[in-house]
Formats: sequence, structure tokens, C-alpha cells
Amino acid sequence: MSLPLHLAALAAPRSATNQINDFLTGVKPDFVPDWALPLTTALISVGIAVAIISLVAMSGTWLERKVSGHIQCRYGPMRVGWHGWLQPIADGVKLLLKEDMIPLGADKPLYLLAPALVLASILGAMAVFPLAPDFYFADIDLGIFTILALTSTTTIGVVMAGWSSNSKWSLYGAMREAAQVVAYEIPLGISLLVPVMVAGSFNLLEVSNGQAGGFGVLNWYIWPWVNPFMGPAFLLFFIAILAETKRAPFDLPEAESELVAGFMTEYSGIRWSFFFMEEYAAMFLYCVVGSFFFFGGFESPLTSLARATDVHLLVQVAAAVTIIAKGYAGLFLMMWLRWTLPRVRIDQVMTLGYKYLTPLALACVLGASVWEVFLAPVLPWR
Amino acid sequence: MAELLFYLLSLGAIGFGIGVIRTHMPLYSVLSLLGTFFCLAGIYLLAGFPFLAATQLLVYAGAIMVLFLFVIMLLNLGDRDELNRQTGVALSGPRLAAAGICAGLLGLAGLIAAGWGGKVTPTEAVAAGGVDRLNDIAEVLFGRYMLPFEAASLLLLATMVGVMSLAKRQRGEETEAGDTGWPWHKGVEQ
Amino acid sequence: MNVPTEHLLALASILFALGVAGFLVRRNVIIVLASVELMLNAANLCFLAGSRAWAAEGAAGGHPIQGPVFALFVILVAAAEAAIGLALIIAIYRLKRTTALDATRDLEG
Repeated sequence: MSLPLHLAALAAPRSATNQINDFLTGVKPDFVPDWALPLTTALISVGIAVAIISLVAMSGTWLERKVSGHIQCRYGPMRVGWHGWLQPIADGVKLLLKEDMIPLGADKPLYLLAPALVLASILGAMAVFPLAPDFYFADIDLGIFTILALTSTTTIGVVMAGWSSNSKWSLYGAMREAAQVVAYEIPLGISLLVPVMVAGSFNLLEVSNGQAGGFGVLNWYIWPWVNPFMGPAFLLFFIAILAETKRAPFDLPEAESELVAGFMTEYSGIRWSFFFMEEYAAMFLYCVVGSFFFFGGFESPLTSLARATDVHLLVQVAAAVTIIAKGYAGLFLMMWLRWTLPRVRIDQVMTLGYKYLTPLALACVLGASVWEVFLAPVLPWR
Repeated sequence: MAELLFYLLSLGAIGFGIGVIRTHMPLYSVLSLLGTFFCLAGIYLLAGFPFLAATQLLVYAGAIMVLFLFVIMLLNLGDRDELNRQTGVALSGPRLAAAGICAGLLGLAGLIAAGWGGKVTPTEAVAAGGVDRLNDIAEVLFGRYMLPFEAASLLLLATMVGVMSLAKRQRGEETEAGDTGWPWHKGVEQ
Repeated sequence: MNVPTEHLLALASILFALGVAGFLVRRNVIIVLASVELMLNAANLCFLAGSRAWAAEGAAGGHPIQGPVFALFVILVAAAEAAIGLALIIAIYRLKRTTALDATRDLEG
């Protein structure tokens, strides 16, 4: 019944999974068989991940509508609850009750499988993402590598959706998605190498710990005194995640003014909302990754203050508040950009990705490694 | 439990593998291949190779398979009439020989598997954190295998140039009227 | 995972046999390429099985890390092969309007 050692190491002693397991072992009545424990633990962990994703998606849609509204000098949703904060729940109920339509001529199994696949890969990525220094599911050395690997498989679901819908708009959207995501995965991965090089680790927790000190601000990797190539690397990273999450100005796979709704044109009801949940969860996830690797992760003046009090729970809460605030700040920036920049053409997207971002990212890595090898050892503050 | 998972994943890999070669649509073939890759990634993880499992997902599932799907969509290979003509299986001399080779290989597999009593290799004996720890891989890749690593980068560069020159339309090449490079714009041919 | 190395090798050889069968019997280029990928993955599985057995033996006279590193190289070659293969498919399709291998016999004597 025991896990192999290297898998047990994934569920490190402090991990949320182990805490749940310990708790369940304590309260388990005798008539419950032993094999039910790991299963229950797994289900509860998945439940937590699903809850986080749903909350992010709900707050994301509400925020999107409010931000869009205020940028266009209107209020956005105002009717359901104070400033429309219950709007996402009303939307959810509406989507659940809507008819689930499958177009004639659609490839039915693939059509039904696609939204599930899209959501499953983002759920998998949630496993490596720590919400607080002592609240995570898996503390693996491959942290960011696993996140990139799992999120890269969402493309398959999108392409499947576009193909199986039997609609030319969907197909165009899916093709754009495939071309765009493959093109921007390269600068995304390479630009992340710069902070990885400075931190010397793929592990999100270790990267965050590497930025401790300096009142919780001064040691963030983004500052030029840490490594001057970090700023350009972050810029490349941010452009790449805009394209990866299909956000404006790179929202070509959806492109509502030319392709109806791109790859999800034919979807309706709850299946359609799966794509939206994936989009907002992916946006939030990438923003959190960005704050881990460039903006200090759990480190902020708030966390430093909490650490000074030496109360364990307070530190955890402060760290969680910090990372969530940073994630939502990134989310807000992405929404702001949506109403600021016009959509680019697909050939411009490809040109930007292959001809500019990739070489620039490589140049960043080269410059950063030269700095790390020759200058960082002699800098008094490193 | 891990053993059960391994045998389930193996069955899945073989099932999807059969799917790769016996379906009539290239798209289903590629999606089955993807299923095989997912099962294999699970097996790598169980066997103590988390890095390889993640690489399998990132490179195979995230990039190579997307490329396959992209080409299938670009050529619009969903047209069933044309496909039935293209993918039929013919039984000629070489193909019978192929079937013979396969049967032989399967027999060999059976023989290997017949070493049932073979020594059990528990992964517990394998170092914690997996066999392929990042530091070890980096040390070997940038030390002992530096030359193959550089050769690999040259191979990739050559591939890039080759793909460009193959896929790019020649300057003088005639484009038929109304041909935007997307075959389905011209209706069904043949 | 308490599984004999032989079982990993058996799985690898079955996958390889499936790949060979698909490669030789099918006529659609895309399926043929997919079969090649299947064979390459079977080879990878062998590398990892060997490396795992070696690590369990205590890695006498060598380093079990060679298996994963060679698997990495195989993945790299597979990526290059897929890219070239798909570019060729596009070029052939542009010329012949088909993806059947039998249609490309112009070089046959």
C-alpha cells in the first residue's frame, strides 16, 4: 500500500496532502477499510484544487467585466449583489441550466472530451503551485518544469475542440492556437531560465526563499542590481504568457470580431464555461509563476512583518495574501492591456514570436549567465 | 498499488498503440499516440524518472503532437472518401514479411516476459527523488556528453533550415487561382 | 514499484512491434510517422528500464544517469525527425494532393 520512495518524497511531510492524510487517519472509524484513506485524501486534494480554480475563474470573470466597464467609463454589472459581486454565481447557474448542444456532424467523442482535457491539464498544474510556504500538494524539484509541461497540454484540448466542432471558425481558431502556442512556448521557457539561473532551482518554494531579506522588497529578482537582464527577461515572459493564455492583443484563437468565438464557437452551457475556467486559471497561474520568479514570491514587507512576530500561522496567512495579491495584480494588468492594445494579425504574431522574442530571450540568457559567472561573485550585495 | 498502476498504464499504452496503427483517420492515430505518450509518462514517473516524464509531456505532448495535429488540420485530412482510398491495407510480399517480423518480435516479447521469475527490481532501492536528478543530468550532459550535446544543437539547426527550405513556397512557384494555401478552399479534388 | 525489469522490456518490445507493423503496413504518411514515434518511445523505455536496474544494483562501475540522458537525446532526435517528416508531407501534398505513400513513386526505376 505504500508509495515508492521517490513518489512519497513528492508528498513531503508538511504538504497539504499529508496533513489531510494524518487528519483522516486520526478520525477514521474501524469499519472503514485501510485502502479508503489514500483515495479519500486524493479526492479531498482534488476538491481543493477544483475549488481554487473555480474561485479564481469566478472572481476573474467579475473582475474582467468591472475592469472593462470602468475603462470604458461605465459601471459593468451592478444588479446582483453589491456592485454585482454575485454576478458570477448568477452566470454559473445560467450556464448550468443552458441546453448542452452538440452540433450535427461534430466528432462526438472528441467534442465531449476536449473541455475535460483542457481543464484536467490546468488542474494537474495546480498540484505544484504552493499557496503558502506550508500549504502545497507537491514540493518537487521540477516545480516550474512540471507546470510548463502540464499547461502545454491544454493546447491539445483546444485543437481537439476546434477540429471536432466541424465548423470553419473553430478550425481556424484551433490552427491559430496550435501555431501561436508552439511559437511562444520557446521564449516563455527561455526567459524563465534567467531567474532559474540566479536562484539555482526549479522549485517554486526555493526560488521564493532565495528572495528573502531586504525588507521583503530589495531582494526581488526583478531589480537591476540583482541581475540587469532580469527586466528584459520579465518583459519577454509577460508577452509570452499573454500569447500562451490567448489574451489580447494575442487573442487570435478566439478573435470574436472575425472568428465568432474561435475554437469554442460551437460550445454552449457548462462545457463552454470549462474553457473559460481554464483561461482564467491559466492566467492566474502564469501570473503567480511570474511573481514567484521575478517579484519575490511569498516575500513582501507584510511577510517580513509577520515573520518578525514569529507566529507561524500569521506568516502563512501573510505569505498567502502576498502571493494572491501579486497574482491578481498581474491579472489586472492583463485586463488593462486588453482594452489598451489592438489585436495583432496572425503573421505579426508569428513574426514577433520567432524573429524577435526567441533571439532576444537567448541574448538575455547569455547576458545573465555572463553576469552571474563574472560579476555576481564580486558584487558586495550578492 | 504502484504495481497495479504500472500494469494498468502498460495495458493503456498497448491499447493506444494498437489504436495508432489500426484506425482509419490520421487524426485518431495521432490522438492514440498521444494516449500512449501519457501512459508512458506515467510509467516513467512510477519507475523513478520524474524529469523524463515531464520532458515527455513538454516535448512530445506539448510540441511534437501539436505539430502533427497542425499539419493534419492544414491538409484537412478529415475527408473520409479520400482517406478510404489512401489508407487501405494492401497485402503484398513485403507486407506479409512485415507481419512475420512483428509476430517474431511479439514472440520475443513473450520469451522475455517468460522470465517471470526474473529478479524484481524494487524502485525503493532506487535513490529517493528519482534516478534522473537534475544535478546529475546537468553534470553528465555538460561534462561527459558535451560533444553529443553540441552535435545535437547542430542537428536542430540543420533541421530548422531544412524545414524552412522544404515548406517555403518557391518564388516562381505558381499558385493556382483562389489557392490561399488552404486546400479546402478549392473543394474536393480527385 | 516492485516490477521486474523484464516486464518493462516486454512492454517496450510490444510497443516496438506495433510500431514496426504500422510502419510497414499502413500507407498514410502521417500514420507511418506516428508509428516511427512509437518505436522511438519503445527504445526510450528500454534505456530507462536498464538505467533503473543499474541504479538498483548500486551502480557498479558506471552511472545510471546515462539512461535518462540517452533518452533525452532520443527525444531530441524524434523532434527533429517529426519536424522534417511533417515538412516533407506538406511539400508532397502540395505536389500530389495526397498523403498516400504509394503515390510518390516517381523515383522508382
